[in-house]
Amino acid sequence: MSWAEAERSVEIKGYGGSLGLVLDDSAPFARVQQDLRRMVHEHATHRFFKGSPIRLRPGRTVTSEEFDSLRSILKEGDLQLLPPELPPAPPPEDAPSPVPAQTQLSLPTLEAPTDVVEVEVPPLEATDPLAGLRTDPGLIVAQTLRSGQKVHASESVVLFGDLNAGAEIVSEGNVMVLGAVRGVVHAGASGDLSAVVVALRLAPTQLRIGGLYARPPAEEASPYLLGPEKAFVENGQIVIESPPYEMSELQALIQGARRHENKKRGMGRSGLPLITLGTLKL
Amino acid sequence: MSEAIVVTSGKGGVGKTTTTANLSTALANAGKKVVAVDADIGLRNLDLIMGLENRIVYNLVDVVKGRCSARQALIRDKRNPNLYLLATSQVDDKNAVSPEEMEKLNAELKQEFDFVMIDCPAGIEQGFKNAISGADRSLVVTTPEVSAVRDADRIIGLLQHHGVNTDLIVNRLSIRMVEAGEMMSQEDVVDILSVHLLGVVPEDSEIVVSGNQGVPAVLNEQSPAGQAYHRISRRLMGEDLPIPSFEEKRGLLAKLFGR
Repeated sequence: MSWAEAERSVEIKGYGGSLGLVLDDSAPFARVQQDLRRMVHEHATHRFFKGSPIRLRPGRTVTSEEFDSLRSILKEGDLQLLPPELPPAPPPEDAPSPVPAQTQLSLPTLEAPTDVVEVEVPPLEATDPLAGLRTDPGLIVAQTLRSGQKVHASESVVLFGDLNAGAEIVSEGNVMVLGAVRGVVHAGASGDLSAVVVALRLAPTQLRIGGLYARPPAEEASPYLLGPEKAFVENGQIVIESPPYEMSELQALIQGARRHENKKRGMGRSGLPLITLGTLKL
Repeated sequence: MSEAIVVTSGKGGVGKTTTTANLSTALANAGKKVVAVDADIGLRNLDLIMGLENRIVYNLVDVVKGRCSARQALIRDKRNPNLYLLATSQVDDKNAVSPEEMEKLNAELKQEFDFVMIDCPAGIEQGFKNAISGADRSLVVTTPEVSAVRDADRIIGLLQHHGVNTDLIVNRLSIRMVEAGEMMSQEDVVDILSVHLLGVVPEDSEIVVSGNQGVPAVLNEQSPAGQAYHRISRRLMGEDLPIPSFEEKRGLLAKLFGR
């Protein structure tokens, strides 16, 4: 082997059963890339680490571009690079932002278990309405909420099931429903207008965010029209937005011709304001 | 292994008593020992539908209060020796018995019978709490109307809270109205309630006639509702019998009318 161990700027080490990638913080990045590529190609010959997830260890701060570059190098050897478990220690002196770029990147996948294959997650843009969202872990409710049942939480609520008509969720944070919303849902119940409601089918009896309350337009009342949607406040009005991808179209394909005509109306809802009924005193 | 099954709905008038009478009769005709229990204290009906009103001597409240034995109060059906009725009291109210007493009664009846079919009163108050006490499972009856479905949803929540398993029966489905888009289909109802569908009973004017005569429709082979109850009873006995889908029914009708 032509490279002496001591000269390497890159090392792969075992950390309690999982692998970690240690980078020399003094070497230039080009050198790190070069060493990593060489190491990957060496390992590719005897396939020692093949398919293993490797977590980037703190020690050297990398930008998101650098992280992407390291990840694509490892991918060549069938290795999967995970972001560091903790934000890398001190941010560089010249970073004016309190949130350095490299920690922004690692945030969405921080909690991901190591055996999950990574999905490309583009960093959030400043204009994304989700950027300022509170990210408390939230209350998880795993049942269908039926007529007469009510969840009241000071944190966000994640419901695995439907919120049926006559049932109610009141949350001071966000509300996410992995099912249909047919009842009354109130997000940001202590007055937080940045709260959102996300549901796979959003057909509430009434929807409240902060002190605003609204109902869907009557012609949209059928619970069978909709794909996944998000409700949030824009210019003092609660609006509903479909995802950028045409989920409603996919849904129509999956569900067959019976719901085909619903598709157009579903797509037409994007950005549609709900009918504001008034303001609550909180 | 005997079972106590409560037939309930929340809303009144959706067909609890009709369902209890027909399923009890069908199960007895299949050779099971069945007792139909009228838990709607003060609003006695099950005896009328089963045509047994004039044979009542003792009732459920008498048994619970120890004024007679269960054996004395049971009324044997006119047609089927496997079928018995435990009628209710018309003069008492829902507070005449407690959930504990109903639980004890159910346990006693289960020793004698394969199926204890309990006709639950409408509502969610004391009468409902009494009727579901000691039940092993429940059949929730709804019609395809928003108010009935809403009440069924409430009832299912309460049953689940009490740990009682729930199956759904959609009653009085009008194929013509569903086709015209004027009525929820069985799929729509199941979509909202998300519980297991045990059967669909079509709208059938024969039900009114059979109720008035005290002869359950399940005994009438010409009655579509009666035949639906017959299929439901077979599913209750564990048979894996597919629920005819809406399209299949339509196909049959189309054939009949040459469309």
